[in-house]
Amino acid sequence: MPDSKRPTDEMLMALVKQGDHAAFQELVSRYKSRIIGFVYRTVNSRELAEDIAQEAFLRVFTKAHTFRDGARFSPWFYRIASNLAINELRRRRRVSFISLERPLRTSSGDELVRDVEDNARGPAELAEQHELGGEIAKAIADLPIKYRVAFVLRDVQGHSYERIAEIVGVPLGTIKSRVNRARSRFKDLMQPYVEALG
Amino acid sequence: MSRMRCNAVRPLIAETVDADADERVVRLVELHAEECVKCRSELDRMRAAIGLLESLEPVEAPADFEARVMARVRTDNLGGWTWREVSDRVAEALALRPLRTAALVATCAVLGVALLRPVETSPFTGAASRIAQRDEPIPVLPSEVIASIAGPVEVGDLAAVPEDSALTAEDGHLESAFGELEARLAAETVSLPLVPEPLGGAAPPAARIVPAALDARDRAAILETGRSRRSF
Ligand SMILES: [Zn+2]
Repeated sequence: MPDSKRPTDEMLMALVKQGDHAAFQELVSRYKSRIIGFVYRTVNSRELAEDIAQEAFLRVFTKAHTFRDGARFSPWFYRIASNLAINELRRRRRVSFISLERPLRTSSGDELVRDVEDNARGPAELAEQHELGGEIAKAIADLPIKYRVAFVLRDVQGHSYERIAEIVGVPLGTIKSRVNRARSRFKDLMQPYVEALG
Repeated sequence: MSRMRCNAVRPLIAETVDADADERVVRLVELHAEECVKCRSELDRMRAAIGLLESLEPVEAPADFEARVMARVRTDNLGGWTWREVSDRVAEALALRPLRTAALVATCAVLGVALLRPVETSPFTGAASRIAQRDEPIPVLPSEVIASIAGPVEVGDLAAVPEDSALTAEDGHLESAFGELEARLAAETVSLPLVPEPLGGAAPPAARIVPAALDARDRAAILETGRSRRSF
């Protein structure tokens, strides 16, 4: 529901440019889960995703002066996060002393227990679902990075193609093509699971 | 079905699972799939695979995430270099000119960070090597503290500081680590030559940490590698 009393991201950025902490905190609050989710699905490590998201937010504060008047905040911010994630993946590949294959971290144990109670699902089913989630995450992580970013933004996070083109900085047609290629690749990677699930 | 039509239909299959798929394209593919087993199978597998994405749990930021970010904004000198940047820079300078290692290492010890990378070859272990990988800006001495400190750093003085000074930072407690460093510096009236580095043109002068113990060529090398890496 649109709230006329709710300042837009861009209004907040105007204050952040002046060093306003409250406006900055509001942006952190609005975007924290989305941006962690995006980076997490891109780098497949929850811990790394939180580090990168934190760094991305700090760049918003320190680089606020580079935010153009009239620009939209969301694509600008996603672009910062995306660049940080890609750079980190490249750096790690170069240095290659840290494995990206960390176990998928789900929500807290408490929530897991609550799920069991609420939905009367057995531990085996939960484990299976957890395993499936891990397989999905691994398949996404196996996509080439350019495809992966477009795929996560579109099919996991539901951004418009126009916005993704703005975030990534390539033409719309290129984004559509990357998403479609990613889907085909993802479909092939998930085939054993699709078959197993009948 | 003719191979021609399959070739025309196959690339469209990925489009049919889009959240805003063109209904005409979907219909076109489905019409073909009604008569073509192979394309039918491809369409089904695509729908099933993309459908699996629905089972991904939504990601929630940890409860303390916002507070962590705000704490960083409030306490850090955000115009400064990050631990990792300084670490990389000095490692590069050393690679260029593997001299004065002792002075550098001593200086690094005072900075409380392992500046040599990769980690496996670092003379530092534990907290120090972890700090060196951080993309967090290095907190900078308040200007009044800098002003109250007199005299340039002597290599001898730096070497006299225990190697593990300020290396106690565990799990992100950079503030306390730096507080300790700050206190030590104040107590020993040793100064780090913190040279202001304007960032992005508009930021207030922040510290560029280039140890005075280095000679002019070392300093130039560090500043040079810094510049080349500074673009964002
Ligand atoms: Zn066909």
